[in-house]
Amino acid sequence: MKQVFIQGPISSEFIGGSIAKHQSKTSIGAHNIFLGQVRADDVDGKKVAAIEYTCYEELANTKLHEIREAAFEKFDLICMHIYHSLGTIKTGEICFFVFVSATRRKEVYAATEWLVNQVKEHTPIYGKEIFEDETHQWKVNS
Amino acid sequence: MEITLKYFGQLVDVMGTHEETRPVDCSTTLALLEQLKKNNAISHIPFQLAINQKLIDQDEAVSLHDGDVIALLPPYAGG
Repeated sequence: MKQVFIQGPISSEFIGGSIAKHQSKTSIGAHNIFLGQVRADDVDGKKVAAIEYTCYEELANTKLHEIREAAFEKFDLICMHIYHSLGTIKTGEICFFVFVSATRRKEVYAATEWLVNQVKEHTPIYGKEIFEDETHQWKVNS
Repeated sequence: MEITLKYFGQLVDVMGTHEETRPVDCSTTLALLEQLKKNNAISHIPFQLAINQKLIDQDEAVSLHDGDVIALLPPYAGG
């Protein structure tokens, strides 16, 4: 089972390192990356300061494995990686990283969008939006 | 029979815990749902059930067994 969940924000060093690891895979001609960043939403005059992510890890890992298998069936990919943060992620920090590689660009665009949607729709992840005044509300995906 | 209930998202706030083990006298998920929804605090929150890490169809009467782990999962909010 691939490790998807990372405690804390996803650093630019981690993302850069992931790209570098693919330099030896020379059949790749196109990478595409989606990065989800915690946004400082305004809700009734209060500003989101951070999101605290939790998940049902056992079920989430099963679902992510299924999504991964389905992605390789559906698209002509060389490799793909999904990372999602758990714990408190401040606004401006990265919480979601999808990285797709193929021989040509057409596949990676379609696969990235499909993967992002699948993860949002089928993975039991929860986000508690913590406001600057330390009150909170539960994030709802639109 | 004893089962473990795991709560997620908004349900953690409402139930005041992540997890509890409690005795139940219902033999199916439908009966359990009926019992759970008697709690006014959660009756308005949509959620689906997973038994032992497997999602089940809400309308299906799935048999419960001693030691089952039932997760109550509100709509997901990843990304």
